[in-house]
Amino acid sequence: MGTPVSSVVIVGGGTAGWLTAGVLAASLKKQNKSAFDITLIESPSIPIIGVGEGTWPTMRRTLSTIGVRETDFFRECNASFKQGAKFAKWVTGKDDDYYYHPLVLPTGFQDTNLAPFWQEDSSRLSFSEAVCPQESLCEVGLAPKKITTPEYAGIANYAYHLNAGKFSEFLKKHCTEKLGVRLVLDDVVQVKATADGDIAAVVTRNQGDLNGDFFVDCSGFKALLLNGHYQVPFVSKKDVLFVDSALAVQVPYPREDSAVVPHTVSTAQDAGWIWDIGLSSRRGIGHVYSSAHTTQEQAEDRLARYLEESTESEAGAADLEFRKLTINPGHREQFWVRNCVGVGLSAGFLEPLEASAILLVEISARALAEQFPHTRESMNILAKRFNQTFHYRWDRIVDFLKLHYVLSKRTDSEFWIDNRDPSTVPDSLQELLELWRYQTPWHGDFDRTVEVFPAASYQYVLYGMGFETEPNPHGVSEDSRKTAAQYFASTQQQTRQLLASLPQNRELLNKIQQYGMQRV
Amino acid sequence: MPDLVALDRSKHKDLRVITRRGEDLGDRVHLVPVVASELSSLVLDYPVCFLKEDNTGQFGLYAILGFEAGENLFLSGEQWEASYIPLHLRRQPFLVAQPPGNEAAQGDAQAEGILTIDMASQRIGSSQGEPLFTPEGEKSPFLEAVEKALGELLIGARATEALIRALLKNDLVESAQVNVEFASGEKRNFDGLYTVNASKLKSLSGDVLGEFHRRGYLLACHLLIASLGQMRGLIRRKERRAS
Repeated sequence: MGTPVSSVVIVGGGTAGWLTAGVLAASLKKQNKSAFDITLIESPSIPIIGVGEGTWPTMRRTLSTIGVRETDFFRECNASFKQGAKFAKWVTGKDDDYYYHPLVLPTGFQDTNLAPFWQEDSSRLSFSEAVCPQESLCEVGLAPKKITTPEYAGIANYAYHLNAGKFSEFLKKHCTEKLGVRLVLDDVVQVKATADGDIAAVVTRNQGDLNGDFFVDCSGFKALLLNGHYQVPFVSKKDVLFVDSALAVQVPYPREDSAVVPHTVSTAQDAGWIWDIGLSSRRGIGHVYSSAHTTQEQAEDRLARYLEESTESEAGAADLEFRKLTINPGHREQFWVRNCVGVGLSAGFLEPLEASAILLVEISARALAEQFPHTRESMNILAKRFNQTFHYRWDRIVDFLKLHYVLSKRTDSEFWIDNRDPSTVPDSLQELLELWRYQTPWHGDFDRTVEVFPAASYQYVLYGMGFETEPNPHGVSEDSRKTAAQYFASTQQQTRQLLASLPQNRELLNKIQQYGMQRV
Repeated sequence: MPDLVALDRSKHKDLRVITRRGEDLGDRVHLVPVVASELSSLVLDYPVCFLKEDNTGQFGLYAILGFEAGENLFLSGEQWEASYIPLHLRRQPFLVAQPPGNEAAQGDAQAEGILTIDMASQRIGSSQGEPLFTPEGEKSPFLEAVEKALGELLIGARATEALIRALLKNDLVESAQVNVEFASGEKRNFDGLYTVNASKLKSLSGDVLGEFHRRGYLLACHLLIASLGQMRGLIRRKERRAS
């Protein structure tokens, strides 16, 4: 018999801590007969970072696993629907320059690659408009479902925008009241190790030792356990992704019934880009930039100008407070050491261009829940695999983020020019770009079960940004041309049908407040 | 557009209402809202399901009369081919309206509403049909029956809402998988119909089960589940019309 693992101590609340607690508690309860003791230590003195306000569609499954009602989530977290991202001014920087990375896969994506056929005639519709309805829905501000659609089901694929502070509180309430997670309000001041180097206990300021078999470090940038205790080195990605600073601001809507944009808007600036996220209650806007390419004053000026141009309120940005954050792009050399795993900012952070932060928390928590170490003996092997898997995932995210910069044609500032310097582009990405000059991204390019971004995401960014793949020298068969034509036609038909039937995003959010969604 | 006016003994003393059924009288409907107290009568002829209101997503209880909009398979000329006609059809063209500012009273079964009549209804005339008042100016037996039906509907609507709330609270509503195959070989799936989850109903226990029994919800659930068997009857009606 091995030594059973039956108590888990999570250090740190916030989105990472509570999501991990929720996923672990719900899954372990479902899988195992005997109860697990899950404790979360939340510091009463350290505020959560709470700027992660965009999710992936995976969050629907995560929330449903944890066992919360989607209606409650919308009502209590000021949530809204997110149907992907609109990238403005990333290619040329001109006013009419934009493309979408939607969440709906291209029509027929399981069996047919429409990209080469679209490239033959790319003059009429953008790639995303030609292969899926979502760009058209976003452009007119529609919701991805109706009030009659059950919770967690979508007519068009969707993710969320949410208030991170409220989300943590919402999860905390559910975890402690429904899932039996024990909350300890205290600060961790010391770590006690066993003779062979495992963590035996964390010492809290007021409540003494908290023993555990397994520890999860969700303590944020500080990484109390991974960094503070184990001193796992940090792998910086600043040579690839230059953004290292952020200014964040919360912007009220001018009216109670103001439209809520159903997608994230990311607008490129001369030394970074600005995110714009619509919640039901307010917008969250922020400028991330490279401090090597601009000053904080200039960045503040850019953000203020964006607010003036994009908000209807006459007050403008004058009385809004900018919050400054420092970003250290990169991740720990190991995420799981002995009996301790880092989830969230303690594991690492990259600029929020593709909302990968909360996603990484979800897939880390899910990986832990699905392959939870039953015994101490199985832990080292699981740790090795977890580290391999997550190294791969971080690298793919770095590649995918860098892709947005490499494909830009902007020459108006050093930031954009430097970003295309081949010495800053990972070899793995250079190789893919070389391949895609001759063939369009397809399933086989990303064949691991642990893929973060499917080939579809690469297609949306590549062809959204005007990348050119050479036509197949062998030509395409009549059969495949016919199939493609049918898919293009059915996409347009579906687009028309959805445009005629889906409600405005604000309208549906109001109805969710008033009536709620049904579970079935 | 309905034109609702409060029923007035003197203004409407000569009014008559046509009570026969007919396509020309607004009976070409494939769904009729019903109340739970009607279930024991409805189950003899009609499938009864929950449907979501388009505008709110909230569930309502409906008898199914046909497979598509405008198809009423129980209507044959002026005849209604079933032993029971839902209250909602029998009360037409009358409605009970709550006076403005009286919304709070809606939760109170005793609250008096105002009896109104839809003057735009094709059922209204002065030559044929049932009189509303006797020559002496008293309520006719017909009007008294209508008032009784409306009273039943009003109380029934509240009880039905309570039933639906209880079912949802206990997660007992599920999508009804209605796959119909006609003799012609045509197959159709009908989405948007909901019923009671029988296996979850069976696993109810303790206080909840006791309360379901006491309040009559248990009986209502069994009647609802049984009524789905009338889909076969509905198919037969459709096939008879086709042949």
